[in-house]
Amino acid sequence: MATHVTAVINQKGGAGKTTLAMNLAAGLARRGETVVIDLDPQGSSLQWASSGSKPFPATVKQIGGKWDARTLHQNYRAYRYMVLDCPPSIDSHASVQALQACDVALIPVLPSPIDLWASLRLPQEIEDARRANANLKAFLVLNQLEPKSAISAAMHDALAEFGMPVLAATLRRRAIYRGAALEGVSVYQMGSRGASAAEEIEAIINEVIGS
Amino acid sequence: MTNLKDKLSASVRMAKASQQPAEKPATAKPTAAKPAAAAPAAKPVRAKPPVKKTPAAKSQPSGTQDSGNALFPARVWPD
Ligand SMILES: Nc1ncnc2c1ncn2[C@@H]1O[C@H](COP(=O)(O)OP(=O)(O)O)[C@@H](O)[C@H]1O
Ligand SMILES: [Mg+2]
Repeated sequence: MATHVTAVINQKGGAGKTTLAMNLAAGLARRGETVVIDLDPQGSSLQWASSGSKPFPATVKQIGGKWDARTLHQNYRAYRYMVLDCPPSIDSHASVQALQACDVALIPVLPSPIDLWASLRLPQEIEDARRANANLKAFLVLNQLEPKSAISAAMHDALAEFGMPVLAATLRRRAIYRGAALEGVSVYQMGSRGASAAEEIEAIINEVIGS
Repeated sequence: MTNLKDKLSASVRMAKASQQPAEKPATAKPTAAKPAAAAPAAKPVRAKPPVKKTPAAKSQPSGTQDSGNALFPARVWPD
């Protein structure tokens, strides 16, 4: 079966790309062999996976040199799932190729007007990518949602302005997401403290990839 | 609440309107044709002043980047 590729992308730094990519990969790893490709020169995913006392459930790799969507598929065809943790730019080679290589693009956005404004180019980039990757699916994912805050509640309406589907599943702002990164593990490995967060990730996987 | 919703949605529409001419020239190139490290300078259209610049400069999207940090503490720290 062809590797299922999810790209986590947004040109805004701090939107939650790495957090979503790594926990998503951990959830996918429960379903099949999973590799995360750390496309960000900052190497956060790689550092995350290598800093834990327990092994991270998915393999994390960096790639250098010349590569494109085709070579990516070829080199990692042994994996059932691939998650691409993109750099905070959409003009970079890595991001352009990631949108060519993926089945699904997930775009985390924070409940803040500044983050919305900074993400407005993405719908056009997705459209452009569809010329060569016609079956590309793309979804906005609300991250760091604070259910009691008015601005969080206003987000769903504001996201409609993007003209792109928004996942019903969201990630709440939870200290455990940061705690898991510090421990070098995913929220799935944080026991009962990580259970609610793991449920959020499961909901995303089920909504996007299907059960 | 409704007011805030409208305001947020309106701000996104405004940002979209002011970004579109600069970001995407009419002759949009295919993605593949983009240089790997497309610097803003590579797009001559950007050098022009924004098409629409109302007096309320402070609330304009083009002027928001620097004020971004002001919102961070509220959401970075745990409740
Ligand atoms: N849902 C969340 N709850 C709490 N903290 C989060 C959440 N998502 C991300 N963070 C934190 O926000 C910061 C930015 O997230 P990160 O995943 O590194 O974003 P990006 O990869 O887009 O730059 C990190 O400190 C991360 O731990
Ligand atoms: Mg990152």
